[in-house]
Amino acid sequence: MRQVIASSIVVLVLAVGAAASSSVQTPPAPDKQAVIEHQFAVAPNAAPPAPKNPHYVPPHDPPQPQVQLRQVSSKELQAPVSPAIFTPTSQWIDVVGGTQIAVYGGSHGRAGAIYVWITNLETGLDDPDKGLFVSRTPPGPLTLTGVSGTTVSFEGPSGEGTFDLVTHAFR
Amino acid sequence: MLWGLVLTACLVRATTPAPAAAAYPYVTTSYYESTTSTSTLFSQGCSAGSAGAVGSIILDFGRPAYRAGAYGTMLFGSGGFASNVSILQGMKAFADGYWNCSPVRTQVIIARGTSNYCPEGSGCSLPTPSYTAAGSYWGRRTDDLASYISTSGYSSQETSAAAIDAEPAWDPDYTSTHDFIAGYNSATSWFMFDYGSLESGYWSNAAAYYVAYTGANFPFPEIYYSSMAASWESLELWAVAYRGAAMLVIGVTSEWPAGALTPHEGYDAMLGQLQSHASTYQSSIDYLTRIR
Repeated sequence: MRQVIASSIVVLVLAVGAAASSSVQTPPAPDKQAVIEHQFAVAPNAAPPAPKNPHYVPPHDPPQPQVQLRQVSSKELQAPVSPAIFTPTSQWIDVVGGTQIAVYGGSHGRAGAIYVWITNLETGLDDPDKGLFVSRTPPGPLTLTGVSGTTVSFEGPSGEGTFDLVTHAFR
Repeated sequence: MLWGLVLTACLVRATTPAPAAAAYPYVTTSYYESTTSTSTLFSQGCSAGSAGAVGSIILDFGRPAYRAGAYGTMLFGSGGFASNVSILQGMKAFADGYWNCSPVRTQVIIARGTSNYCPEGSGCSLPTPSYTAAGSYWGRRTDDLASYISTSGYSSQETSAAAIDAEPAWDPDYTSTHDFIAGYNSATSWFMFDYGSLESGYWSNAAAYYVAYTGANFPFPEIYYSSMAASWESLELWAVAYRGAAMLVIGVTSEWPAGALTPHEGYDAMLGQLQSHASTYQSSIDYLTRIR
């Protein structure tokens, strides 16, 4: 009986020890630790904290669009979304009253999809109406052919189709 | 002083047995930038400050580019080319906005983001003649923001860093990504977050490790699906076997709702993977951001 209890205690101690060792985080290597320390060290000659002025408004510096607007393009397809989520084939961009509307045709996995990005260029903040919209057409990427009003035209594996920027409906 | 507390917490956590995951880090908002307008970037910084944002904020100015003797990037959307100098001016404005609008005890790392986008056949214009030089200049401008923060009296709440959305599929032969990072690390030692992906079939583990963890680089991976966390854990285990230790995953990037996982789900997926092996164990991950 004593042997059983003693064995149980040994097993318990070993189990606790193993559990403890498995929850220990290894410290970063010295070179990485030095990088961390550098990142958070305040320079000895740093200025004292500046006064805060929450009412300060900087001089207006209006954003200047530099690409050709209202044209479908299949070049320079740097979409503002990870390629793990969306692979673009084409894009169309416009700026109306300080709001940028960028529409991308492409695919989400194997499914055809449209990615819409609407941004207030003055505040730099996105419109909540942006997002990824996945078509239910047969698998294959969508390629934009034009945008008129709120209607996006595209070509996909099953032929031509449209996407409504307001209702987000595919036809 | 406050940064000292952060560092102390980091050191203590790294050397003591850790509890199970506690509270999530604050979810900051990071941005794909269409402009370097100082008033726009000020507004974004003020928005972060007003919200009391704490952690790391990545301002992604797009892939490296070069025009008329100036290194810079191609912005997203309608932005076109932006020189490194104009990006620096925008980032200074972001720092101003955060400082003026934030409460007194919040702290952020402001990361100057780029990518390795420019896959073959993609028709990239204004290509960079030297990625090593591009990386070096990226580092110097990151230094310049650090100096601005220091001389402006923002050091108690802000620090400067860089970031790269490094996607293996965008640079299959890895050369330009390697050169950019080598150039960066030759110029400075501020954090360089790798907030990219690890899709298989492109880079060797040694290459992926270099991008994520050489010099001042730290992994800040995109976790949009559970499988992405598993890929990073696979690289962690390779690092243990071939580099002698796991990498410190410093942050998690989310792109919800376009990605399947919310920021907290992405955090849980990554931390769960790290905690699935004793050799890669982390008690927590410091930063969490949602890029949009």
